[in-house]
Amino acid sequence: MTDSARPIVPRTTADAEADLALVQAVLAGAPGAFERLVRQYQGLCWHIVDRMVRHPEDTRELCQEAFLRVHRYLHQYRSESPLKAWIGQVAYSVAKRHLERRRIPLAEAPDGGDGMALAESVGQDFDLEAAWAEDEALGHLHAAIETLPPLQRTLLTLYHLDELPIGEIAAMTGLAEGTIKSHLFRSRRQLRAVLEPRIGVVA
Amino acid sequence: MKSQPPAFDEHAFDEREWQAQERARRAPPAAAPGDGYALVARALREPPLSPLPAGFAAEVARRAVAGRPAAPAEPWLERLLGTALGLALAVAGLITALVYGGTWLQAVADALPRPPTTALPLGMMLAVCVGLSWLVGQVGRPAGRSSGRRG
Repeated sequence: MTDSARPIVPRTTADAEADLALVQAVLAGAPGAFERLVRQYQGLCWHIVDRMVRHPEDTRELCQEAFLRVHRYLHQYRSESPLKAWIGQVAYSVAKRHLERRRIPLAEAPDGGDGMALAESVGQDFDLEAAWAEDEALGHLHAAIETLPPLQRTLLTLYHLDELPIGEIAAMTGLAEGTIKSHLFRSRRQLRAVLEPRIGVVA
Repeated sequence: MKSQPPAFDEHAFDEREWQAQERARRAPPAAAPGDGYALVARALREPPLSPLPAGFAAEVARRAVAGRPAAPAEPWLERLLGTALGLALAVAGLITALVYGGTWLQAVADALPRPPTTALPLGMMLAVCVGLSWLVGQVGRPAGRSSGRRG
């Protein structure tokens, strides 16, 4: 398969230096440095944890836990990888452990993978032919996204919303790039299947 | 946990469909409104996320600083204190040994069983054997130890 996904963007020297400067400032205890770090990466951390656990209070607690871990272990950060990927990895592992403690499956699809069960779970009363509106379709797609397993939801968010390359997502999650592509492909196919019975869309 | 993500399945992957998904992802939101993947891409760009609380960064930073362990003492101070403690222990041990050493030695000698009369000759024979073995080993060894390693 040819890789049409975004290639891993090589980190520029300026990025690496900015990461290093921020880390050193935090380690030196510079006033406001850690708050600056949190402000810079809180969006990414929030997206990962929120997509994994889908509970605002838990998300808040787990995000705090993730950043406290970042603060505690920042001296272990090696500047070979981007700070963003390292923090994303911490956030992912904190959320994953939370799901494991609660015995919530990380990646088991609720159906066989053909997307029909996902489409059915969204709601049968939705008649797109009778009253098609894009916002309604989006609403149903959002509902379908919520029914995806935590891992698929998170991968889709990181790829589409945070626009991270597959290589960086692989570094954060510890999954192989091919596995991530497979998840993205199947999840998007499942989501499109939510619309298919109503409008018969063809990609 | 049993829910390990499935590995990549080459057979379930359709390259043309993947390309269609990627085109939709890269396209501007208003493009191809009737296309299924365009709608999916738009929905994924605007997922229903819970809002990030205001002041989150400041709160986390406050908690991190509050939980930070106290700074360790200077290394030279640690070394100095360690040395002083060691010296104090050594002096105390020496004084104790001088005061009570004789009594302890006597008590230990009394507590130990007396050696049998045959033990002394056997011990001497053993010492002689060890000495002879050592002597034979010395005789058989080359005279210059370092000369054998040269070259």
